[in-house]
Amino acid sequence: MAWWNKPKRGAETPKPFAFQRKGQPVQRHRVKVRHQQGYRVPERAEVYGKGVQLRAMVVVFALCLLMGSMAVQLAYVAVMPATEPRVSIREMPKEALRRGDIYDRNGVLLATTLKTYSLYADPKRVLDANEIARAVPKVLPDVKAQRIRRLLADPSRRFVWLKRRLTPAEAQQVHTLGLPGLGFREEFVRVYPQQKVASHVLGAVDVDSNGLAGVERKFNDSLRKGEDLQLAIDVRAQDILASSVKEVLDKSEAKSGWGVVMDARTGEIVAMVSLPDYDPNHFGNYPDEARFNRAVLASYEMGSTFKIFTLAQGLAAGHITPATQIDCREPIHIGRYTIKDYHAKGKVLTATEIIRYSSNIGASKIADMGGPEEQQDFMRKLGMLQPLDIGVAEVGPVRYPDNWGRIQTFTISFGHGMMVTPMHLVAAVAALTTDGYYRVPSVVKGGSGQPSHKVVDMRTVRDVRDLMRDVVTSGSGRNAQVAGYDVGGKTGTAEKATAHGYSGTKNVVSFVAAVPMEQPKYVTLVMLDEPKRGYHTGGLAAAPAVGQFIQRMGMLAGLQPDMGKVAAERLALERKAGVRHTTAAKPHAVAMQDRAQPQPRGEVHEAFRAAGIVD
Amino acid sequence: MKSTLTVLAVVLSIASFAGMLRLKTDVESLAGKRARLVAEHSRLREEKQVLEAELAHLAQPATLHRFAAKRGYVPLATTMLVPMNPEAGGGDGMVE
Repeated sequence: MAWWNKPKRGAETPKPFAFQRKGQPVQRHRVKVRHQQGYRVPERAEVYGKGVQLRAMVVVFALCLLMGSMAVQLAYVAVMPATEPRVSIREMPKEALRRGDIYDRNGVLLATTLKTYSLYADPKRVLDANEIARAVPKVLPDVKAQRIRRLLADPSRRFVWLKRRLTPAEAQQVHTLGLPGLGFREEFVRVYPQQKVASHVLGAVDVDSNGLAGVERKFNDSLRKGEDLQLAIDVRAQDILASSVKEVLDKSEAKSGWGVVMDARTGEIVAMVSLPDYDPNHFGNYPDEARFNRAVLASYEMGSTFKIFTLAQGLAAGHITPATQIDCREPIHIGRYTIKDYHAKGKVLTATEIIRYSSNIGASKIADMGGPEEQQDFMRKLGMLQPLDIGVAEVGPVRYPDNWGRIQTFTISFGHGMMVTPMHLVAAVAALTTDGYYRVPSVVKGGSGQPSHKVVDMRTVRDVRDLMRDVVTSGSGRNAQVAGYDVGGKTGTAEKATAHGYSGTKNVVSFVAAVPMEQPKYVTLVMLDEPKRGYHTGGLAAAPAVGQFIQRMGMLAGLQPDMGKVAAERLALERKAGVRHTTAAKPHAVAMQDRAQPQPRGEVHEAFRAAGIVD
Repeated sequence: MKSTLTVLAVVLSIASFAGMLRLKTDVESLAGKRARLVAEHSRLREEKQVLEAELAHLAQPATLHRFAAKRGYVPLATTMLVPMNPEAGGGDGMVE
């Protein structure tokens, strides 16, 4: 018998429930009826018998399960290491959309993205379109009332832009109006703090931050992911090159001018200028002519600068040495063409003199020694037969004859009959003056990453250096001389091709230089399109611009000038001007120790003492 | 035994509830703090971007040229260089 059915001690045994089966609980609704029938009133425990106990156990079990799981969860939180909080979708998406920044080689900011506010309207929520049309133009004068009315006329539209990229002050003014139906949306705007500096390298983006030109377009995908980009460009070199080209562009009244500076040892493009240029902050406001990057997109017949390649080819193949004599007395008649010299010497010239006097006859004869196939192969090694991708979106074409015969070999030897971009020329000259290896140029810091390949041996490189140095000391490139630096180079003057043959009055002039010639670090090219008379050759127009660039950039680039030569040049200039300085009245100058040239110090000191510059 | 288990279950439940409540409070507090820090970080980053852009704009070569020209400075040419104390080997370059 269950404990609750045991009779009380000393009490009369009550009448048990007739219907109660052993081990079963009493059902509540039957208790009252049975009590009236004389049955004993069951105790509470008897009423809520085993069935109740079972339910209670189920509830306790469920509670224990719940608490146990909570305890496990607590233990998990307490014991397991903390994980990085996931970024809320509301917090970071705009930051993730921020376009990556662009820096120059020294970490100077060239392009960045700033947050801005754009004004939109929800025509359905607008209460009074006329009020908006009246009030908004007062704070945003370039938003016309008529346009606002037109945009707000269709209430079925839920979103129309009124003006994008407001300044913070403009946004505050519009906000102060308190007009229902207007709203702001945060956007990012691309900013180029250096303005026109390196504009053709950087390119620009559209209103939706898609690259339109330059590295902005070339590296659009990675920049859109927020990845920063570091260029090989040096803003100082860029500015100096731009101002040097601009100066000669203004003087010569040329239609356009452009220039490239390449680190000869790495292939990095340190500066690239194409004038006229544009401000990438207002890309849409400039004509196509300003947006056109002549340094990489346009191809030209380069003229006499190609003679460097002709001589290098002859030297590398062993056809000539710098002292080899070539008969340049008579013009060459081939087919219906006559090849003659611009500055005819009418005599036998050495290979060095052919470069110095820029002899077309001599170059043609040297090229003829190797023939078309050898020339074509050499040009291929110099990368002249294929377009050049330097890391900007613009890739210019190359044009060369399909039928590369003897006549073509002659004309190409002095830079006609083949068109390449200025960048091709710079890269090829770098290969021939540095170590004989061709490197693909790149505007990205660290270079293109493509393997270099050998073009010529070091003996040829040394000979080419000597030839180019001779052009500047004794030939057509004298205007590029800079006191203290061994500049070597080659001038180029190419008549422009017209519908009726070559123009006798319109030239594309150029000067390509390497400095210092002993071990070139930079190769610089400046070109001008149609300079006026008096500036119509590479030596007259482009060479001074290169010289000026080297003059201003040399020390910034860490090129130590030869102080012995500087002192001599200075002395010559002062004697020419009839100037005598005392110690107390020396001109403004930066004084520096000449550690690279310890030997000439005494001579320099003597020279200055003689000139009365120092005691 | 059963009552002991019941008491234990109740105590455990209360403790768990209190622990969870405390944990939730702490998490919410930290989440709020984190949200404020994220907002602050975002604001500071934006200010930094603006300041960097302004610095780059102010330090652009054309601006420096104008400042230099106002003060009478001209671009340095190699012919302006004068070797100081040519007999001695030491010392850095000095400016007159």
